[in-house]
Amino acid sequence: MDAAIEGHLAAGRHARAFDLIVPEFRDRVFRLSYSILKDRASAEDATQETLVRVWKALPGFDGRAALGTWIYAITRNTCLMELRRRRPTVSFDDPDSMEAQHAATNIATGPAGDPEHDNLLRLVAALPANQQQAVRLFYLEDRSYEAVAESLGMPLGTVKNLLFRARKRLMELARPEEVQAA
Amino acid sequence: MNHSNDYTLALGPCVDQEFDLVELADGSLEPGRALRLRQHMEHCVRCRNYAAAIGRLDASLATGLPRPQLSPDFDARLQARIAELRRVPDRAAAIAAAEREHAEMLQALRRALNWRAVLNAAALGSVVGGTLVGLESFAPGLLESLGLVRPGSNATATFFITLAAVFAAYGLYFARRPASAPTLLVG
Repeated sequence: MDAAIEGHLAAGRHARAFDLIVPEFRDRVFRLSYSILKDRASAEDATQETLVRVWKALPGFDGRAALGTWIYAITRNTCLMELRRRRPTVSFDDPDSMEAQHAATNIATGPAGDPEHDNLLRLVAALPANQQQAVRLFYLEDRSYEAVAESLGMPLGTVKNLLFRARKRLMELARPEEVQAA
Repeated sequence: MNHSNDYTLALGPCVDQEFDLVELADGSLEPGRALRLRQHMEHCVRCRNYAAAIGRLDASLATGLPRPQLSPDFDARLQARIAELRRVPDRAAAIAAAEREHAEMLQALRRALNWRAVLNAAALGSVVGGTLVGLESFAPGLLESLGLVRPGSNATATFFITLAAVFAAYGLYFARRPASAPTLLVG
């Protein structure tokens, strides 16, 4: 499919290339947007915005980067703009920040009788933003390290390390509840 | 969960195996290392329990995290937006068209202004020339004594010389003036 797209782009048939780009990339763009924005409606808006930007910028695409790399970079920029627009927001970037500690405390001492599913979501929400993003995307992309690395524009080793630290942290956060439940 | 398991889980796995245990759960650990790790786990209850806990966490995340889908009308909305953008003329072409229109407007204004300048010069020259001719008939010799006309020149020559002088002054003034839109519009 990529070869067909590249063929159209090389021949200057941008509209036809775009018609192939949409079905090929829209779902991954959406999943990447969702992993960053954590909200379905916002992710769908960001996906629309990304594809419109791709349509506008396609005549200037020079092929130096892979098409996917270029599209995912546009996606990340679109989502970052949306996050900036949403300010002020609570950041979990620093796991030792007051907010992260507060969230972790809430999870450990959350109301009894919460469904297991809600607990899992709250545990994930207590992770630093980059770990949350990697975890969400990893499971949305059917546990593909390569897909996560390509979407996030990170080296494979960085993604593996992020996921390792994320799951280690999740185990630590979940342990008090498991011990209490035992 | 029994208490011995809780205890070993709290201790965590062997430090040098921790990363590999996660990769083993993901199925991405290189086969040789995976074999060595499995052999290690046969004798290490801490790593075995940790691997089991990772497996449970992995299953929970795989089934518990939301898997949202795009709306069914996503493609239709996107195509509508693209169609809307296609109707908007290309920005560069729009700028070029506006610049062309601006240049044509300046040219038209300049032409109109040239005609106005000619008419103004003719009117002003006629008034000044007429005044000088009148003065000469009422007070013969006055203009000569002031050095405004040459001795012995007649009224017609005075009139045309004045007219030519006013035209020349107008021409000089407009030649030095920069031709920009504001000056043309203000006059």
